[in-house]
This record gives sequence, C-alpha cells and structure tokens, in this order.
Amino acid sequence: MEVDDTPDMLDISVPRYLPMSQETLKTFSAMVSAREDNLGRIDSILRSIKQDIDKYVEFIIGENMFENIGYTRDFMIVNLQSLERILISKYELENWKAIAFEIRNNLNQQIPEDPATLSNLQQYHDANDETLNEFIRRRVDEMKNSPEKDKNIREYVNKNDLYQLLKNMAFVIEKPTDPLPEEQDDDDVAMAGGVISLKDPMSLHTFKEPVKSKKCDHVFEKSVIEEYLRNEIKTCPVAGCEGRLAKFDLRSDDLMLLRVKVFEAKQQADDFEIETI
Amino acid sequence: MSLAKTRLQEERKLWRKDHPFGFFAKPEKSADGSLDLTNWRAGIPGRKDTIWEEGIYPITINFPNDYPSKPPKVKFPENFYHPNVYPSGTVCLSILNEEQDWRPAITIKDIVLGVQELLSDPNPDSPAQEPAWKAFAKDKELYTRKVKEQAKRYQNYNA
Ligand SMILES: [Zn+2]
Repeated sequence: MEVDDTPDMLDISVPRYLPMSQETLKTFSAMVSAREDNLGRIDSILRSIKQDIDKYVEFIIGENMFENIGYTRDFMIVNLQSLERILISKYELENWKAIAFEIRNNLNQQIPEDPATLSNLQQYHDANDETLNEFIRRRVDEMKNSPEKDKNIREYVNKNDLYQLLKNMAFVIEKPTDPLPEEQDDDDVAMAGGVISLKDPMSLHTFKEPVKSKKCDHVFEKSVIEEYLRNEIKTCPVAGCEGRLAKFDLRSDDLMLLRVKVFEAKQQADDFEIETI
Repeated sequence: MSLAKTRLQEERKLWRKDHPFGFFAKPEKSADGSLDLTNWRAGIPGRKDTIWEEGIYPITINFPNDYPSKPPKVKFPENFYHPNVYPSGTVCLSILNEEQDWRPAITIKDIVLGVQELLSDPNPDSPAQEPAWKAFAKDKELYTRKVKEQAKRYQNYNA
C-alpha cells in the first residue's frame, strides 16, 4: 500500500487508519449509510403493504365477500409480484450490510494496535496486503456471483411472513380450517380430523393473538406462551416436540389470525342465515 | 381467572362435545354442590380383544394449581392390579411425569387414551408393584387370571 497521501510525516499523532486511503474510507461510509437508509425505506414499504392487506381483509369480512375468491386472487397476484421484487432488494441490501460489517471488522483487525509512527510505518504497510478497494470488490463479487444466490433468494422470499400471508390468503379465505397444500403431509401442523386447530394448545381457547415458534412452527396464544416461558428456555408445550423455545423465538402468526377472523365471520354469517330462515 | 381454571373449563366443554367411545370423565361435585374442576373422575374401558376388555376401570385425576405447566396426578383405587400402578393406586406413565414426557398441550383425552393403552400394554421397565410385575414377567397364566378376576369386579363401573 502506498503512503504518499500521508499529510505530515513528522506529525507523530497521525490517525490510526493513516495508511488506508481516507478518501476510500469516506466513500465507503457514505455508501453504507445510503444503503442503510434504503433498508429503512423498504421496511416502511413492507409495513404499508401489510396495512393494505389488513384493510383488504377487513373489507372482505365486513362485506361478507367470501365467495368472490377471484377478486382476492387478483389482489394477491398483483401484490405478490411487487412484494417479491421488494424482498429481493431487501435481501441484497441486507447482504451488503453484512459485508459492510465484515469490512469494518476487517479494517479494525488489520490495523496494528500501536499508533502509527515513523518507525513502525513499515509494519502498517505489511499488515494489509489487500487494499480496501480490492477487499470490497472481492466480497461484493462473491455475493453477486455466488452459485447459491438464486436458491438463497428464493428461500429468503419464501420465509418472509408477509409473503406467506399474501400468497396463502385466497386459500385461507376460502377454506379457513384447511391445511395449506404444502402442509398437508406435515406432521408438525396441529390438526384434528384433517382440519387446522384454531385453538391455543395450552388454554384451549380460540386464538386472539397467535404467535408461531421459529424453532418448530407450533402456534400459541401470545400471553399464554409468554407466561409459560417467562424468561427461560423451555421445551415446546406440544407433546412429542423437542423444540427448545424462548420468548424471542416467537413471532406473530398473521396467517393463523386470518384463519380465525374468516372462520368466525363465516360462522356468524351462517348463524345469521339460520336465524332469518 | 387462572390458566388452570379456564383450561379445565374448556377441557370439560370439549369432552362433552366429543370423547372416545366407552370412556367417561367429569369433574367431582364439591360439598356445596358446585363443580370442582380440579378433581375429575373417569372410567377407562379395557381394550377389546385383550384380557382387560370386560372392565371399565375407575381413575381419579387431580389437577395442580399450576396445571397445565405441571401434569395432573392419576390414580386407580388402592391395590389396583397392574405392573405400573403403585400400591397407592398412582399410575406410573411417562406422559404424566413432569421430568419425562409431560407437555402442557396434553389433554384429558390424551391422558385417558394413554392410560387405556398402558392397561393392556404394560411397561416392563418401570415396575411399580411387586405382585403384578412379578406375575407379568414370570407367570403369564397367573397374571391373566388375576387381570380377568379384576375385570369382573369392575364390570359395572359407570358414571
Ligand atoms: Zn413445537
């Protein structure tokens, strides 16, 4: 690494990163924060998509439009495509953020502990045989050209809760207690007589605020499972499940909540029909 | 209301709506006539085509305050003849043991079905009483006779 941009060789109190190009470092920091801003923007777009879905569901339930499933499918297809694009950008930005983190760590490790002085400048020089620019380029290339890239993106999109909600909402609005097509052979899904249970397995009450375990996909009522777990790590309350859970393994299960809402609305509509006959 | 109370009320509702054929289970009545949801009485029919089939065997199920975090205690009458039942009547079954396979999602229905299975399919690795365990291990003829005699005694047990 060249040291010709060193300002004053006689100044002993030079900054620790002196042998790195300060310009590169500045550009790098600016790029990182710009991308972090973008991530924030994406998250707010995702929140507004969630609000749109909630409004749509409220409308369907309010108007009792369970039969017009074609309408829901159209809503789903349009939104699913844009959601997918947004999630792919999010995936790339998150990857970038991870690389940026790695680069920062790498920088800190490569700089010798002692402040740079005239006598140890050579040590600085030797500590880093790859320039920052080269390092960044290498990591970004690795990310872009990874053979696993497409598979990883697919997995990332598929794992997203909002994507799952949007993808399956038409099915759930039509058949609120049916297992999803891909779940039908899954033994881990709580089913009785081929239907999905809408009840918390601990209180046996119908879900109000369902949360799903990231460890094993079992669903619980938030307040009940939180009271059970407190601040410990415990074995999943479901018989035969060896999942070890803590509070932070739980995330809200919007698809289950949709099942409950639709199921109850349909039941009310049926009761109303019986009363008016 | 405590989780134990609300859960037991739901268990009762579910049981009344639907339960396995030949079984019964219900909360005891307190002295003042109200239901005591923490103490249930149940009848376990012996499985068809086993030496247990003629009887309906009585158990009590006692739920602790911290149910369903902790399992209920299930008891047959004292001196009930079975390899995995203590002389006190307490049932030794892994799903009823907090240290073993108890989980809060196990329902009363799961428990009575588990006890029914244990009757005709004892666990030779967890002896709880001398007479039945010895006979089961060494003298199948004696064991069969004793079980059938007991079945006759519980032939007419019902709610
Ligand atoms: Zn689980």
